[in-house]
Amino acid sequence: MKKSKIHKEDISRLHKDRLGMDVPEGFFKKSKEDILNAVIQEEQPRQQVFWLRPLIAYPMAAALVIALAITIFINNNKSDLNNKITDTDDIEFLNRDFSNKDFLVSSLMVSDSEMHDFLDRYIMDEIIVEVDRQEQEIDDLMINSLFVEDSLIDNFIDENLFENVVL
Amino acid sequence: MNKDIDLTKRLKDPKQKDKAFRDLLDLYQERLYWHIRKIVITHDNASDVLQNTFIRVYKGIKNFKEKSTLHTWMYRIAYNESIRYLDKNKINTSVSLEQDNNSYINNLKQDEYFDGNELQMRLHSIISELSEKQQRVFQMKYFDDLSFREISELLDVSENTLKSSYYSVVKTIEEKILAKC
Repeated sequence: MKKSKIHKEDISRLHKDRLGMDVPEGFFKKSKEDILNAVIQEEQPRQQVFWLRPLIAYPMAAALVIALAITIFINNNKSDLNNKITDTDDIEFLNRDFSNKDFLVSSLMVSDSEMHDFLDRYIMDEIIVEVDRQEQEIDDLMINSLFVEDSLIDNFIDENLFENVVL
Repeated sequence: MNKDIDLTKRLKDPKQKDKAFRDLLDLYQERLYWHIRKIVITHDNASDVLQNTFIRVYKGIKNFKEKSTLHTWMYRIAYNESIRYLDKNKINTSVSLEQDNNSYINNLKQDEYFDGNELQMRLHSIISELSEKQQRVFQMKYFDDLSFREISELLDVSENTLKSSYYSVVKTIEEKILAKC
């Protein structure tokens, strides 16, 4: 069973001649391409994760940062506005309806922070001042009453004096 | 041997790897194919295993410690992939039982790319009657033209045992072929 020199050099021919095993025409050329493609595919999967592709990941990250910044900015502005309640429509709204005794309904239309500021202001402006005013009135009344008493006494004295002394 | 050393060096260089791999395919694809084909029998099976083998070579070359030649290392990968393929597909080519012998011949006959005459079929039949180790030794030595040292590394059998086994198998085949003529 000696192999010829030709067989030694042409392994496919050896297998064909001795074993009857054949290969399709152009198989090894096609096989080489298939192997190279398979190797490339084996190497690429790590880069094929959709969310991690640079063209996708960077814009997504940037959009996320911008959305976060906008959210924080809006929230800050909102809290600032809440601390600057002066002559806003909401306060006028509450003022008007408070006096019209529709306060409870109106309070549903404004935010809690605005409501608290309004109440603080109302308490300061209305109640405390009113109390001061009333206290002043009482003081005035007391003082006035003293004057009245004095005058009554004087009158009494004068009358008694006239009756008792003069007469 | 020098060619293998140079090729190994280029394969381990990331800048030269792709070009070196193409050269590797040109040098070894056909030889590895036939090494695989004789184990898995059919062309389609051999094509699949060949692709798996070269993918493993490409991915594993950076860890190749060069304790053996590149040539031997690739044959070992091809051999292991072939055995793994057979186990996975439960194609049994061992000849411990008559049923296994029939399986070898049946797979051969079903292969679209087998066109053997009577003599060639007779050779296959004789080979299928050998033990698995004897089959491998004969195929690797006679058809793949590997040295006894390389076969010893692949099959983990001493060279002396291989030599005596090989010459015994050759004698058996010749006697059986001549007996049936």
